[in-house]
Amino acid sequence: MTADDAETPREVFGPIDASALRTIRDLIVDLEPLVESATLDDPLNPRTLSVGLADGVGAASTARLDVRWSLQGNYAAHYTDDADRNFRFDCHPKPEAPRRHFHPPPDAPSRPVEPSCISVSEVALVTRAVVQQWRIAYKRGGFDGLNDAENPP
Amino acid sequence: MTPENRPDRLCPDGGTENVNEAVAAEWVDDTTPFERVYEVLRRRYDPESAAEIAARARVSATTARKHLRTLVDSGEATTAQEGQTTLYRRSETAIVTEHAQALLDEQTPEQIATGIAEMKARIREWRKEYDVDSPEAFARELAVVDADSDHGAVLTEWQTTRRNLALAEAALAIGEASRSGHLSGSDTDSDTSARA
Repeated sequence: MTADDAETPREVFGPIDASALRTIRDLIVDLEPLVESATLDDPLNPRTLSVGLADGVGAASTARLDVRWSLQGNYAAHYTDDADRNFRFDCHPKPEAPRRHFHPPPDAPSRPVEPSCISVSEVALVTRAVVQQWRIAYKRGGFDGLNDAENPP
Repeated sequence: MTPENRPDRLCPDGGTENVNEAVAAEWVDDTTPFERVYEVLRRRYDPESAAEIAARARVSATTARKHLRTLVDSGEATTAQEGQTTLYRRSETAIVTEHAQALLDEQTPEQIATGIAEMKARIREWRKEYDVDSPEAFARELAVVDADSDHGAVLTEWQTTRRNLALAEAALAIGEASRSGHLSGSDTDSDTSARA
């Protein structure tokens, strides 16, 4: 493969999959008792699913999870709370970074990123994994170990 | 190594639980094999073999093949042949039908028509602002490689809007055909008088 091929990936993120967003919305509402609202930003042209949470990690009192999912199975799940902390579990081609990567708290900067602890691919599994990691941070009241795949039961 | 699929997966030895294994076990517990095959198929826009779909759905290849045949018969899946192997993906008809149903449940035809006009206007603005015809040309000209960049966000939005525009136009047509009553043979008086 030539350097040229490497620099021009077939897709960067890809078009958002409206049907996937609706599936994720219904699943998160089922899984997470703290969900207060779960809405698509535009019913006709949805790009982001926003899930409002009634509490946040540690000092935060509310939080939001913004989810995007593309036809190619790329995704971004972005946590943000009213204490201004952010993190993101992502999966998409990114130069000099693993496809599955984690933007760490508190700022979730574009770079540097870490390899993500989430290795599953299906909508049903990624959604459950994101909810589970958020739950762990919520119960602990902090972000330590948020990107660890292995957790004490 | 993985414990049985029990809802209360206890680790009495004080070991750790792996999130990826735990969510897969939970999915298998919560759903039937058919539900998992169908859910995996719904996200297949590129064709895949029954074996690949089986691995994703955590079912045997035989089970996947049986359910995929049902989904082909009902119009949800479509097939392509690669040598001896049958490849499956979601059918365009199923994509359009599901999207149309979701839109028509929530939106009036007028709202859909307004949304279509807005999406067309959006696309015209991008073409003008960046002086390119398509999101692909935009990606090439501006060498967009990182989805986390501002241009990466525009690229995704443009591609998304183009797709949702096509889906909204199809939904509007399905809605009009349904209301006419011609599809089910329940044609109304008001319709015939409108034509007269």
